[in-house]
Amino acid sequence: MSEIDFLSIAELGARFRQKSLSPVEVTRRALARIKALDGRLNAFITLLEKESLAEAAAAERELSRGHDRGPLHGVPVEIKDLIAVAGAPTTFASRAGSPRHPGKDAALVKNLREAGAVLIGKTNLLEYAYGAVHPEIGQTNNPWDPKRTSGGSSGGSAAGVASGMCFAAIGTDTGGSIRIPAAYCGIAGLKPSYGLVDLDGVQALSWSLDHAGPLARRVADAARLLEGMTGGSFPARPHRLKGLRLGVMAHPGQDRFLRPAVREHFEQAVARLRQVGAEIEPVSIAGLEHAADALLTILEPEASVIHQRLIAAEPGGFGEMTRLQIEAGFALPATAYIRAQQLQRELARRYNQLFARVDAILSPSVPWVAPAEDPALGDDGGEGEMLYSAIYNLTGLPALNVFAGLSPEKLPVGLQIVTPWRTDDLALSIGAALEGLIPPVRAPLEP
Amino acid sequence: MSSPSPDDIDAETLRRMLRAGGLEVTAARASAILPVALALLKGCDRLASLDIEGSGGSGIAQAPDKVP
Repeated sequence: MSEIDFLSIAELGARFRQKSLSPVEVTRRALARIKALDGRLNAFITLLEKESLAEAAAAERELSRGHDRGPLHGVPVEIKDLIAVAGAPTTFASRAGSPRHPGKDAALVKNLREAGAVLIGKTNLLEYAYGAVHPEIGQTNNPWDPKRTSGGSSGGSAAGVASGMCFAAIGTDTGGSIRIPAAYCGIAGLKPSYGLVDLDGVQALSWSLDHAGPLARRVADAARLLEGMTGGSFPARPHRLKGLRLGVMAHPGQDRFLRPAVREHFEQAVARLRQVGAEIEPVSIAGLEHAADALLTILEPEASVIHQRLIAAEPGGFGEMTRLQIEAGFALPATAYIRAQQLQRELARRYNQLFARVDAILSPSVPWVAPAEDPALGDDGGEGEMLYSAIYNLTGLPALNVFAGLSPEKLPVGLQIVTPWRTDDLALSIGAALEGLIPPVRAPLEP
Repeated sequence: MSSPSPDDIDAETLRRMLRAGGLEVTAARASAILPVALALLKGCDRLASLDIEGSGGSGIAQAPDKVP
């Protein structure tokens, strides 16, 4: 197993600047690892081989001349394949409206280029990020067990990072699509505050609920990527845990869905936090049981309007499950959409009140470990998978998945940390501190 | 006219609802969409039964800390 492929971004940067490792060498290694492993994972749709080597060579020249763009300079990064990268096809993991050839970078990609990141490839996803695999493209398999899914919809991004094929990745999240694959793959994944990341050039699924964010093996790496995406500062220094007020959220429906291994690891993590001085209290939010209904009642008609022209022009280009979801969304009444928005506002208000009492909220990220396939959006399995995540798309609060342990079958369990709106660095700082108590473990897949 | 209860919706009713929403489909296609649509419409019914205190419907959480 190669240590280099699993270095942190900080370690990689230090070695670039000491000249004991070069961006070109690291990019070549990443490309070779992708070629060796991706037949089993199906994480990449487009490999940007020539482009990434040219970008790595440019980074190397700049660094040797003393032109240092910061922590991401020369670091290979993956981009979910619904985000525009100029000169590369965008497929959306679909045959409808695909491929597109954008003439300019998405805003977040432009920022990453300015930060010196090397864009190594476009990663697989659920079709248009909408809850189902296109059958001709197939799911991304999990580096912990390739007979299981890496989760959706940012599964390619998560699997690529967890397997050491890349150092960090961009995903999107409309109901849990960063945090669910991050949990299944045992890595850090942040759904940032609503509005923090510019979504210009990111294919929309639902304007009210869409977010883009980082996935990485360590919280600090996710923070570096968020800085690169936004130009902001997210130091993510491990937070002092003694005296930190943490609420453990009671989620209605939890007893129906939560598997024993996840419950056990979550409770153990909470016990560790209590041992080091965090103040833990159970918390609840009235109306939380309606979050899934509200999410779908907003998401579905917005997605239908977004895809209206395409579903009329190329209905057969969509996978059947995605097509059915888009079509069904046209039947939802406007009154229901407005009620869902009212509940969205009311839930946000209740969370704001709760944050007067606690600094952060904890829950599992997903009630189970990676299944064989992603459950369908809108059915019981889909509701269970989004049990802990969807509410934070509705409320726009920053929500971070961190590793919480391995189940008896050696699959990762995820824990979610939620903080007030626009306190993304607090979520990252608490996550970094928790990593000190429960260090992430490397996925076992090797060429 | 209020929306029909999900229990009263058949494929032809759904076809008309989809047309009102901007999508033309055949009767056969409406039948295929019906189970997915009914599941969503039952969720809408559950929301309709709530007494939500929130004023206004602009729910986009651009600044949740500013929500009154």
